[in-house]
Amino acid sequence: MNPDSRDAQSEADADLRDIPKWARRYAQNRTLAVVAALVIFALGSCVFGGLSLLTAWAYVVDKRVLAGASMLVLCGFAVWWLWFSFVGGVRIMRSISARLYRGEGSASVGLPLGPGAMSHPPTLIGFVFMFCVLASVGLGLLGFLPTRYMQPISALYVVPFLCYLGLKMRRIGSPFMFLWPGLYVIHAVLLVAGVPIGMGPMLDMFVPTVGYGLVATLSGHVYSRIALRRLRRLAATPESSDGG
Amino acid sequence: MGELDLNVHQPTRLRILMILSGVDSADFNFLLNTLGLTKGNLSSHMGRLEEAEYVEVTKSFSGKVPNTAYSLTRRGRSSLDEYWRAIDDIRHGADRSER
Repeated sequence: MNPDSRDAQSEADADLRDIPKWARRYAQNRTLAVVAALVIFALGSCVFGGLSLLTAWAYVVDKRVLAGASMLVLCGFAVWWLWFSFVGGVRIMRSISARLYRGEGSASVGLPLGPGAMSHPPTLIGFVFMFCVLASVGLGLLGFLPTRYMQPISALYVVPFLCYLGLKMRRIGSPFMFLWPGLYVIHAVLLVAGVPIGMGPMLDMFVPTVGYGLVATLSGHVYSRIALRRLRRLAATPESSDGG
Repeated sequence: MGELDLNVHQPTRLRILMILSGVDSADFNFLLNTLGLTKGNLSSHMGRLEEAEYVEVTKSFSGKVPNTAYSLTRRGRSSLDEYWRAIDDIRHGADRSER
């Protein structure tokens, strides 16, 4: 073997040895299901907010029937929301993910491809998180927390929760998910420092929660496209249709 | 070359094993698209790897659509490691004889 062909062979081997790395990076960054979950969360929040406003308005203008009906719909939606969050959401997200990635197939790290439960965060952590959310919203509504500091205060429990999830799922999750708590903290610090980025109490919560989540997950998705292109280039096989 | 495992050394099967070594599981469709093979061709390679017990097959349904997923077995992983060790040995041997 002459040195030139040996160098070429070593280079080809190095490419082949890179295949597992890019396959893993691709699998870790298949974040479209999380994008879909965030969109569902955003739409759900809008429906919830809209129904609450409608109920309150109907009650104030003394349209009792409308108030009662919208209250019923609101309760039904709340029950569905709880079911989606704790029971059916994982199955729905799994099926959405299968549809979104149908064209390119499926590769996974840590999770079985077949039916099986995606691991939830431990229940205690989930309950502590929900308690913090409800407590801060309740204290805010009762006037004990200044609304302009709701987002910075929420950062005290949202950021550790997101970091915990990211660390817990670091083997199977996208590293880009750490962008989410990172941006959340930056937003909180800027608000506390008095930088005029406030958009009102509702949007100050909504943008860091959904908006930065979308930034993180879409970054992961873009990276998965890069990883897949790289993987396909490295794994391109010399044979096209003849058997092995 | 006698030391090399031909189930691994075949270029397409080597690529399949390398992909599977990076993930826990990949389905038929993913391997098909990534490698750019025909279904028959990929099936024949997967058959060989399954026969050698280098890959494990999991068949399931995603809704009404059947799904075949593959993962690397312990035996497959150690054969792959051995293969690269053998390749490195051959390369180093060639380097030494050249000097």
